[in-house]
Amino acid sequence: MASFAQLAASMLRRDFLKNSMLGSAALTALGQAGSASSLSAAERSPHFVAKAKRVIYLFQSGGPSQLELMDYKPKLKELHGTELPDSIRQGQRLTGMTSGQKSFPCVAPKFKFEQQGSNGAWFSELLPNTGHIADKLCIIRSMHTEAINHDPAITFMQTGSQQPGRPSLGAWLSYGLGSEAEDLPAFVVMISHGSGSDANQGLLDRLWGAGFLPSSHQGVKLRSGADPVLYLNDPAGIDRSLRRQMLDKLSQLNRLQQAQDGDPEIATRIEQYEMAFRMQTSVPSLTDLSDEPESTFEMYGADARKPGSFAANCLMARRLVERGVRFVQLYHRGWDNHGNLPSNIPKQCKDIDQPQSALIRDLEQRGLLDDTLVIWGGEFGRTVYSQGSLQDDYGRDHHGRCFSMWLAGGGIRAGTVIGETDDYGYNIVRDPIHIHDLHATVLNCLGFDHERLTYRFQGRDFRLTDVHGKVVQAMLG
Amino acid sequence: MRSREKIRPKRWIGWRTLMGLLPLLLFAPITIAQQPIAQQPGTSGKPLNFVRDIQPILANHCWSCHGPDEKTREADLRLDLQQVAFDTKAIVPNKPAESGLVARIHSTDAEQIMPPPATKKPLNAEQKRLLEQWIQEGATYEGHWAFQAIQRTQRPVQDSLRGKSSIIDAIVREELAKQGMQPAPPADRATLLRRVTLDLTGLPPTKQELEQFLADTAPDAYHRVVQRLLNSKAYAEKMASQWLDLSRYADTNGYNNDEDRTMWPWRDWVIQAFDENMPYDRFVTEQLAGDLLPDPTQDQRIATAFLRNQGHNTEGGIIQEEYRVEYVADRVHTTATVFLGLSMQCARCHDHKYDPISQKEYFRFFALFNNIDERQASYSKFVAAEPFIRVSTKSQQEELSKLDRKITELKTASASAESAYLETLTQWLKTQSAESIEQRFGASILHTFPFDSVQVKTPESNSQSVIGLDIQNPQHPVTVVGNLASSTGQRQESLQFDGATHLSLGNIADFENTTPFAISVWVYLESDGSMALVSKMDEENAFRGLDLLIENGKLVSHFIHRWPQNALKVSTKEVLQKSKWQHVCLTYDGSRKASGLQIYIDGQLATMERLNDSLSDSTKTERPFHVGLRQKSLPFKGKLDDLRIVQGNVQSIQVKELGQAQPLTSFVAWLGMPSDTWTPEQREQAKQITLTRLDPVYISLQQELASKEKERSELMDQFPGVMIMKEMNPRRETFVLNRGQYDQPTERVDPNVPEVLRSFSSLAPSNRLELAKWLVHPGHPLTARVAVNRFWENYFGIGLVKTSEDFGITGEFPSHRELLDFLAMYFIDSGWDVKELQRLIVLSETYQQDSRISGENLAKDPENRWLARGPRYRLAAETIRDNALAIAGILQPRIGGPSVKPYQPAGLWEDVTVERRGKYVPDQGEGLYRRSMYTFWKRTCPPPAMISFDAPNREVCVARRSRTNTPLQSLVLMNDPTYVEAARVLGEIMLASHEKDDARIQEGYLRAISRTPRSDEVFLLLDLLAAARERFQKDQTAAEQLTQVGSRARLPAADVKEIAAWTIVASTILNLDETISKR
Repeated sequence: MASFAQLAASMLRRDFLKNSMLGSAALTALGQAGSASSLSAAERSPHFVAKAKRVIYLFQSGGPSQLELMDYKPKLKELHGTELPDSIRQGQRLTGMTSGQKSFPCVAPKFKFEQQGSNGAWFSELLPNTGHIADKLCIIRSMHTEAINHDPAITFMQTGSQQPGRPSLGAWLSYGLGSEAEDLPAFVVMISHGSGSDANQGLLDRLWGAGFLPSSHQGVKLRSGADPVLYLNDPAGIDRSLRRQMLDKLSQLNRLQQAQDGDPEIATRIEQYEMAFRMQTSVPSLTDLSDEPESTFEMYGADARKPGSFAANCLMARRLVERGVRFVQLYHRGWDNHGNLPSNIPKQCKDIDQPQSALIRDLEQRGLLDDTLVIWGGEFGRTVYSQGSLQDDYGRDHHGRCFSMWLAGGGIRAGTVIGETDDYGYNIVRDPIHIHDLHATVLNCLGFDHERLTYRFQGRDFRLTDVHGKVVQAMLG
Repeated sequence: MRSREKIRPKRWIGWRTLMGLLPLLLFAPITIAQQPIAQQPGTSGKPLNFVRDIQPILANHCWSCHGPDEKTREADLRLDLQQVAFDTKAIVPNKPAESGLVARIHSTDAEQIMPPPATKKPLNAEQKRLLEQWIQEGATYEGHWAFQAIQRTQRPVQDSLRGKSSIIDAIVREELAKQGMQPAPPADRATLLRRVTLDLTGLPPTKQELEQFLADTAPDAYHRVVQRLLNSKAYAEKMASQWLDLSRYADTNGYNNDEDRTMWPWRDWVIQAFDENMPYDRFVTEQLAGDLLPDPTQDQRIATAFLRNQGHNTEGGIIQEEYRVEYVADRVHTTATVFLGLSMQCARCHDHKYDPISQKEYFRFFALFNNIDERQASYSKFVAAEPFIRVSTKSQQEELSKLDRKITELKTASASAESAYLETLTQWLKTQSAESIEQRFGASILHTFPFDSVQVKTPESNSQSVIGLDIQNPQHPVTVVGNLASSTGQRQESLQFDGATHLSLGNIADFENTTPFAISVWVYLESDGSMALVSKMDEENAFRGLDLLIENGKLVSHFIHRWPQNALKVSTKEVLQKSKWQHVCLTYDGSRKASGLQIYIDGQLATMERLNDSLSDSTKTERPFHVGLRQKSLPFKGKLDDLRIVQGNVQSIQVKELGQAQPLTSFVAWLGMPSDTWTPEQREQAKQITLTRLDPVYISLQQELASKEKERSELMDQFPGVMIMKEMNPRRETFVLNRGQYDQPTERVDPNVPEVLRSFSSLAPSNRLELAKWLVHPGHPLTARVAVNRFWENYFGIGLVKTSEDFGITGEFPSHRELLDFLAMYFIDSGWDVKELQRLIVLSETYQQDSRISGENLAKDPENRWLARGPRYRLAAETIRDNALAIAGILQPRIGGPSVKPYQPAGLWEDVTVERRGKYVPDQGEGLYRRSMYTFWKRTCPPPAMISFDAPNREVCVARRSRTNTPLQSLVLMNDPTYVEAARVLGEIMLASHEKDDARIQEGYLRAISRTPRSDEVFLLLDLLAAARERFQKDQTAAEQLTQVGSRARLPAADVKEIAAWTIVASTILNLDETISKR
């Protein structure tokens, strides 16, 4: 009986993979075919109707200061130079960089703020274009994390755990959703370097890694330059027609072998070579911007022509989601302003402001914003007090007790501001949202119950949200 | 969490009808696929087995609330203990209708149904049916199989040639018969040779090995091949390579900064261990506790690096204790996974939900690994965190002890010269006149600028001449540029420099650099940055001249003929303090050597760094002597007082005098006096003068000593630092950490191992050595099972326990429990003989079966768990690459040593490293072609082609890799220069091997997959060859380009167009599924 059930299950799954829409998608997803995993495709398919089908995550690596960007604290003008009261600091732990400081003078941001959009959300003058799309955003001022240093904090934000070993958000979604694209990976990663300063924190392979999920779910880097996907280009001397001829023969040889050995994995391999060949065609056309009208570059800014810039990556993100990529992860480095914050942060903002607002408008114009979830934010915020003595070109240390993010698009309630911090921008006074809650909400937008998207590893059903997280209804549209 | 009070009122209600369940069963097949039970080979037709069939259901769906964890237990009900389950009538044996459990799982009432919907772990119909059947059959509980003693099989040996290997076959065939399946016939001999060679060495058989084996028809031919392979170094490399994932070996520290580390001597130790067939019990013991063995050798200490291979975070702001605790937790996780096949992680935060390991037991186990004084290292290019040892090769060790002997000799000789200084001095004085002593040691003050009562009129211009500043030469005019102001000084007044003012003293102190002299001045620093105190320099003429500067607070002096080729530069290590008067004195002995330049701060000789030591020509310049400026640059801000310029050799005891406005005492005077009249200071001075200036023996001894010590430290720098285990004394106390948090210690605990695993012996390990002894105790139920299962997985692609990382309650039940126990017992009985166990497995007929898959077997047993055929699956990442290099004959055979950097696309490291500092520079020559286990492993950016083929990033212990099939893999095999170059070299070999194309193709096949191609395969490749020839005939440049990939030169004799065409054919062969698969 059980054996019949097992057989039926395996046959059903095969038929399912071959015949259903999801199946054909899953079969062409990077490496989903053939390999065993603990949930069948049917189990992994969304638990309820998804508002979003794909994600663009604009990660600001280093910890952008909420105080200079989106968390307006007018009282800081008066408090500037005064000591941070113990009643606010509440003895909570500090990083090793400022824990030895004798004095914690508050610093008022050097930049002006103004209200934007119909609900009057405050935006720094550094983000004028982002301010103009305020009505499309759900701004969260009350994000918080336990982590106070880059490695654990960025790992937490991207994998739901501060320590290495867990799958990344993108890998979970690749595992859950499979791929929509016939010729591109489900999960693509792009990195840009900020103009503010060379990042004094690293990025880590694990941030887009598959952890204990099958490794085919890890992010695939899309790089600027001649070989945008590693090993994409045929070696010099092999042209497309010769490659085609070689692959034809290879697939015939493999098919002969399958007839000999009877192994269905060979059929899968033949299919993977075909997909590789398609990628060789599709990626160059993806990265060739000559089909973009001049208006695109007016919208995204001139930097969009500079390969590897944040602007170019934003434009590329739109082109990727147009082509069915599920998860586009951008990293913009350089926000770690321990010193010289007023000199550096305007450059960082200039890198991102126009392109990110252009991306939202562009997605909207193309009808993609409704089912594309866009996430913006870093791994933590920054302290209201100055790192070291108070200086004109001050710096701020890492701060996990509150920071700001925004989301837009599929499933998200536009034009909202969630959460509030105290007059110091130090503690949350209303509607705290933890990283686990954010993850639960993101999965919800994509149609997943975060408690049911699981993977069995070492005897335990692991989830992105571990044993925590609740969906934040206020964020949902 | 729900409270108990809320739950208590609920009662276990009676049995309800099964009606309405039938339709559900129709959907069972899809949902059941997620349950481990359904992934196992058929459980049909057998009576229920509690451990295999029921326990996983209870563990996954019930025990979270009704299991071992007291804190989350609901309604005081435990379903993991038979007694409690029966007493509460949740289970009434043989009476499902009366069992509360059955009623609750079938309930349609959202308040009553179990598991509660909120847990989101509903039971499917098949699971419910199984639970009922189990209760109907008596609801027998059994202890978890993996914690029970290993059973010895009574089966006899079936076949004298294969010996005990035949027992494997007997067990497998018995199970096959139960499934109604037949074993496959033996694989053909060529296929078998390739399979066993790849399995035991990670490399393909050579053509000669194939020919020999095919020609050897003796009955023991295969046995001898196995023996040859087990004796090869490549076997040791293959086995060690697999150990690297388990031990999370890497060449960098991981985390944010991810600096380089040098743990490769440990990797060498592992290779060596497999090569000499170290028994597994010793292999385990040395890695866990080599340092605690009596008189541990260097190798035994290196072995413990296994427990230090975890990452190390040097990020600036981290809290050290937080990470120290993580490292210990990593050791616990790794040790438990690798040796016990258990995940203990869950019990860090709370009692384990399924496995009988409490949080307290977790921290007892933790305590075993917690007694190491692991120090946080700070960020630098290379980081080994304490404790570590410098490891040397034998020849390096010899060199080191040779140096040490020499250094001791030199020190002894120096000491005796030192003690005889007075004699040496007396001898010397006898030969000297007063004049010659004065000439050698005398010194006289040439200029004194006290900077008191300086009258400067309101300047009419920016520059004016003043006299009376120099006491020795009152009429000497000094030019003042800028606004000169007086201020309080060290003595009386001083001069205040505002950064736009300096003095030009004219052409004074115009010494040649063979003349000894000194400059003394009091300094009051008021700002940072680089500034000149005094100088006489021509900046436009390659900086000829001399200066005394402040650079980043340090005192620096240049003596320059031509910068930087012909110059001296020295710097103090000490910095000058701000807002404080300090006396600075530069002395020079006229030697043109950096060692002749000394700087004193407040009378104390500073620690001198010699940054440039290449002066051989004149430093004279006609530029004036400046105070407060170089020639044009580095203006001074602050105050200066009492500047003195002295000609002659100023001795250290005179430096203080120069700072105190005293005339210099004459050496000649007191040196000539009897030595017993000298003051202690004078005595010390006399000694110094004698030893450093007069005693040629001592001077040369010191020079030699310095050079030997330098050699020694340079040698030591070449020794890799290997992080090892070392116990602390007294022992660090261990506490249960609330929720596993480093800063929430609660109850103090002593080291020990979990109780559930202690029944087989009275051992109660209190340190790592005792832990190791406990692990390798012959009665231990897990150690041998876990090890042999992993070895089995290596041959068949799936372990007998599929979840080779998890032998706990939610792990998979073994497909062949008797076989697993037989192998484990055999392993223990053999004295943990690793090679013998490999031999046992590969000599079995089960292993030697044909691997072709019939449609029927595919349907019945797609994963080949019942072993009705031989193994067939894709090779591991490392083997795929090593294989290609070996097929092309370019694999470099060197064993061990530092990691190497083969081809990797440019820019990957720069994209992610801190400040883009990291840069991957590929090796040249040998390093490009070594086995992949030696490839440099950067944790935050591991080798991309390895990652494409499922290698983990080595941040945590990984016991089982996934095996995927992706287009990125196809791209690597088609386009990675490694494979393009290997294809070209293989193409050249094929081309050169025969005259005829079909014979050439055959050559390629034999090398790559150890068989001759079938005629249809030859036909296809000839077709491709023709197309490629046509292409390259038309375009010779394309041929040139293709054949230039890689650093190996092209075969000179052959036609480039032909090589290119054969490269295409060879690349196709290297891309065959068969080439990258074992079959």
